[in-house]
Amino acid sequence: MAPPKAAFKFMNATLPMFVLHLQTTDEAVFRDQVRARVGQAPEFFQATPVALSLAALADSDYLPDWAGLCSFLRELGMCPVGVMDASPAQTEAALAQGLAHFPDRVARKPAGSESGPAQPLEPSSAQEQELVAGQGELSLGDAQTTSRAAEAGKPDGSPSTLASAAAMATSAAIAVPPAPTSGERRPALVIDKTVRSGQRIYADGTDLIVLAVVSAGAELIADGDIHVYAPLRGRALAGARGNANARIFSQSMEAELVSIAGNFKILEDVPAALKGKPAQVFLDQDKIVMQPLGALRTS
Amino acid sequence: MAKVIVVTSGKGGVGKTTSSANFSSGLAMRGNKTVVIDFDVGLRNLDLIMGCERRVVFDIVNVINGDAALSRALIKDKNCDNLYVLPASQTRDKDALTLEGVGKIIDELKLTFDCIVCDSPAGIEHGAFAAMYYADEALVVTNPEVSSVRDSDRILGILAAKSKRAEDGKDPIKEHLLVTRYNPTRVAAGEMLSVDDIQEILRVPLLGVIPESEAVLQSSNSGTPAIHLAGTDVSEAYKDVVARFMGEDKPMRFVTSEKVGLLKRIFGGR
Ligand SMILES: Nc1ncnc2c1ncn2[C@@H]1O[C@H](COP(=O)(O)OP(=O)(O)OP(=O)(O)O)[C@@H](O)[C@H]1O
Ligand SMILES: [Mg+2]
Repeated sequence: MAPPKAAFKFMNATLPMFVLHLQTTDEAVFRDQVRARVGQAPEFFQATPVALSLAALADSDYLPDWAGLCSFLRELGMCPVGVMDASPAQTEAALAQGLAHFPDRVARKPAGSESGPAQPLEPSSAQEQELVAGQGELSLGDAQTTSRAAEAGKPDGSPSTLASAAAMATSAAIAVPPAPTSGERRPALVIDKTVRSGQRIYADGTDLIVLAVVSAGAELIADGDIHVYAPLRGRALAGARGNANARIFSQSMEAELVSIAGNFKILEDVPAALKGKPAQVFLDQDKIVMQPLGALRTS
Repeated sequence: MAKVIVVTSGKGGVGKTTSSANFSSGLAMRGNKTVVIDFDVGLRNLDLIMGCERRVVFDIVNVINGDAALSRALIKDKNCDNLYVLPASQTRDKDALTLEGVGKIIDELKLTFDCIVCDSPAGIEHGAFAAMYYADEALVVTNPEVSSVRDSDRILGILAAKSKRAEDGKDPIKEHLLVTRYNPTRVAAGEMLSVDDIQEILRVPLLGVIPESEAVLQSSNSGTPAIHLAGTDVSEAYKDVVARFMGEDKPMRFVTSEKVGLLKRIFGGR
């Protein structure tokens, strides 16, 4: 006799999500600023799950009005789902309002020796994507591109951009076992064939190394670094789950879009000084920096 | 071993059908038993270019649906002994082209033919997919313009990832670049991409360059592929393509315009 068909299954998934960091106890100021920020790209936030981080306020005895906060966020279209980095008292109050509790996160060790600002204090985790948060200058144009892609987030939506990258990261992550814990490392994903327009490669939990051309319209996504030992003409999104230390390297920089930990830059045109040259891309205080390779200045 | 060759492009109107007709004629003229299949269900026009439209009785969809035996749907070409045409239907809907049905036809054709040329419709939808799925080799037809090159790039990605060969983990489809409607004068004037530009983007071995030519229009109006119009540049260009496909080493022609060629000779260019 055939066993009954399973009515459900639980699977581990690592899903991309926004984390809204509360950085003031002045709720009026908070609301004004959030409203202004969301107003720049309202559709982008529609039905978007949001986790609330109290990392900046956990040491205080500030007790947010969780119910008020949640209904405020819902008015703006967001779906508050839980809290993180909060004190026991803050967490307890949040649970009472039906919010989930995200367990304390372990900060990921920065890969390799980094010259950028050290950030051991900032509990930036593997799951955090600062696509918008903390970046006041995201232009409406950019956000529209992004949200359009989010809507087109069907399994094989062809014109892909940032958000579909996230969606895709999602679908790819679902069947994958939990990322290795400290010490272990997933080997880099190595691609030795041309990545063509419309193709998308995702290096889940690791670096991506491409040995052939990445065509315009192709998309590379990695949770770690991206290396392209050939012309990079498509899009490259490194640190897709929030690793701000991730970098992008290419033998010939001609990218359409680069992104590190969700901070992205659309390149109508690669700066002439870099175009077609070996270059790297990294993040310096939320700002995308592109720099020629082999021209490291010590300053 | 029979070879299945898809002629594809992504973008429409770049010269797939023209190339399918000439390429299959060229293969047949050199002794290969060849069949050319029109996959453009709903818009058939390979039969027009081959000049056999009046003799179409059964088509590929009839064969797939079991209404007619394959042998009854094949039309013998009027110019070449070794060439047959399997027409597309003009009326039926595209979904009739099931992968399974197409696979059966191709398996059956492999028993008799050396070369099976599949003329793909434009786009990356069902018909184009059915045309490329069983391919061993691909002629990617590209015009010297950005949008055409971009679409070819997409098609190359699909060939590499979604074909039967890719699914079965076999050697990938062998890719050939065929640049058509090439106008060296306009390229020299910077109005069109050069062959080098196209190759730099696509990085696929160049099988040939077909010049933009009046002869193509004449030939399609008269239902005789241009390869039969002896002495025309298109005829020569397609013959070169076939020769290279069969392993011969032929220098590229029709890549530079007369004027540019002269200048290059004077100034010591290639
Ligand atoms: N080398 C050439 N010189 C001039 N005209 C050409 C050449 N090749 C093709 N053409 C013209 O371009 C048009 C489109 O050609 P063809 O039908 O072969 O393209 P196709 O890629 O099969 O189009 P579709 O995508 O609609 O199937 C036709 O009018 C044809 O005569
Ligand atoms: Mg056609």
